[in-house]
Amino acid sequence: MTSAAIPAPPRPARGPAALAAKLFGSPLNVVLTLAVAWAAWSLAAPLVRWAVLDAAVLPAEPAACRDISGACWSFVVAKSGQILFGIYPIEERWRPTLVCAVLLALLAYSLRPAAWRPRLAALWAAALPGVLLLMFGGFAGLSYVATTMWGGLPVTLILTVTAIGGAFPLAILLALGRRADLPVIRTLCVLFIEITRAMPLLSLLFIASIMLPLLLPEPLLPDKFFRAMIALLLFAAAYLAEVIRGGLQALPRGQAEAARALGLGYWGVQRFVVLPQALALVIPSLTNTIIVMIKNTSLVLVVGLFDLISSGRAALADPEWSSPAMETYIFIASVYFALCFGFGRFARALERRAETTP
Amino acid sequence: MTRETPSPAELAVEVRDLHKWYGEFHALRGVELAVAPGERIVVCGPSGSGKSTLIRCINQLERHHGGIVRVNGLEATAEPRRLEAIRRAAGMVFQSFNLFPHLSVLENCTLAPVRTGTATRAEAEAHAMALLARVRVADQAHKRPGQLSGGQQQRVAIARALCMRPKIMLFDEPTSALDPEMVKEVLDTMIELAGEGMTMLAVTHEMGFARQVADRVVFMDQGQIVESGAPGDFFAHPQHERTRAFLGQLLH
Repeated sequence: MTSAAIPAPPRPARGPAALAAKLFGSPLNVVLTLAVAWAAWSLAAPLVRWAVLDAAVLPAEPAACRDISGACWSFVVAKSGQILFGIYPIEERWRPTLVCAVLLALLAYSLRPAAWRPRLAALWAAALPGVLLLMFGGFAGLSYVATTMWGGLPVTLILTVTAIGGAFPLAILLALGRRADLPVIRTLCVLFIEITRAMPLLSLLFIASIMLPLLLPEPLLPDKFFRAMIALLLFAAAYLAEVIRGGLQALPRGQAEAARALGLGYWGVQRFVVLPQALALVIPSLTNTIIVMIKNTSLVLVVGLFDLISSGRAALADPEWSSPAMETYIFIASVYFALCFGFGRFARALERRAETTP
Repeated sequence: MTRETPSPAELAVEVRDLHKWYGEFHALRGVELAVAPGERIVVCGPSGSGKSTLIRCINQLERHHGGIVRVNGLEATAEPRRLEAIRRAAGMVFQSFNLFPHLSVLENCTLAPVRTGTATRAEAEAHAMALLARVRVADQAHKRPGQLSGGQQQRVAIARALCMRPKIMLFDEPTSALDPEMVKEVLDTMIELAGEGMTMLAVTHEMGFARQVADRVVFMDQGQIVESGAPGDFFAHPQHERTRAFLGQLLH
């Protein structure tokens, strides 16, 4: 080697000084920076004034909100029980509270990859009937509470967990079935996916709540709550199946061939070679679909189930208060945000984990 | 080289009047091939001649439409258990390696033995490490395939196939996707394997390899076996015009 080593180009500078240089480096940048800062301030200032400076939080009674120009958080504090748990009997509220705590704790626990063992599935299989029994009661001195009295966060959580938890395995089977060798299986899967996907979720929920009772005899008819749950599950499964099929198609054929050539059977090929790679490829779109489905659970209000939004609206009907709708919806939105953002972060972590496997 | 013709039950691979179509295209037209245990056969021929299709029909990655395929005495039927047994008896090495990128090199090797129940995890790992050492990649055992060179990946693929203790090894152009400087390390591994008495059926254009290890060279064209013979005869006195044309192009 005769040529002298050429140094690599310097890395772009970072830190406050570099940032200041970027923001105020030229007259144009100074103007732009000031203009954006002014716009941000003029938007944020009234919001901060309304939400914090002029707002009432305590005491949690109607009088607190009478002479204020800001947000009436007192209402949310006073009504949080009703918004979160709907018309579930007040003296029994510890039951939905416990249900939410159990479900949220189990969700948080399930997010850790270290927990992904067969035991976790068993834990969920035990927890779901457990929380439903606790919600229903009617045993061991617990009063019976019909699903028509359920509401708020436990309804949203139970619907989300069962609809998405049940839809995911079904979606995998549908996606595999759509690529199966047997024409019967393929046709059935295509029909299910295309029909379910072509229907608005609202009409699917109406069919489940209004038309099914006309078609099925009373003893065979599941409770309205479970009919809505199944409708959500089937709807989510059709969408997730197509996302998963995208991953299956993106995977080179050689992967499944190599696994088959080693003597693995169909399910072994899918479980150990195809699905781990195909699912990792579509994590971003899976996340997207699942977040949409979490929010879709709020549509059960059209068939008379009390999810978070409908119990919030019910709370607003109290004539004692000046119906602070904005505050209530911000509170509900923040609950959904926590659920969806939490799931989004989890999915991002999963994605990074998959990326470390080049 | 003359051998006594073994009875069908003793053959490692027996192919009788094999036909295969892709839509209207008649890819295999009555192929006959018998591979005795310990025999090493190189299949060559122009692109599209059906050589890959032939070995993919032998381990039934492709279903044939007519004729008989027997591997290790097992006749290929549509029955899944039977197909799995045939594939366990016939290890396959692909042109594009097809290692599983989401698993470590060691897991690539142990997946099938553990999941098909032919070995416990401890047995499979010990066996895999021994085989990885034999193909000289034992130091890479805990890396992902993507971190290895092409030559190393193909040697891992050979070890992975050997982990199922196959009776015969099928190679589908194992060096065609490799950078030139890595071809030799893979061929050396295959030559060692041949030296240990493994039955081998290799589709390859590496005529040096064919001369060195093959008992028989089979030339295919247009879905048929045109001629076959011991490498000495085959290269010195090809019988058919098509063989001569093919070898002429290859040796220039």
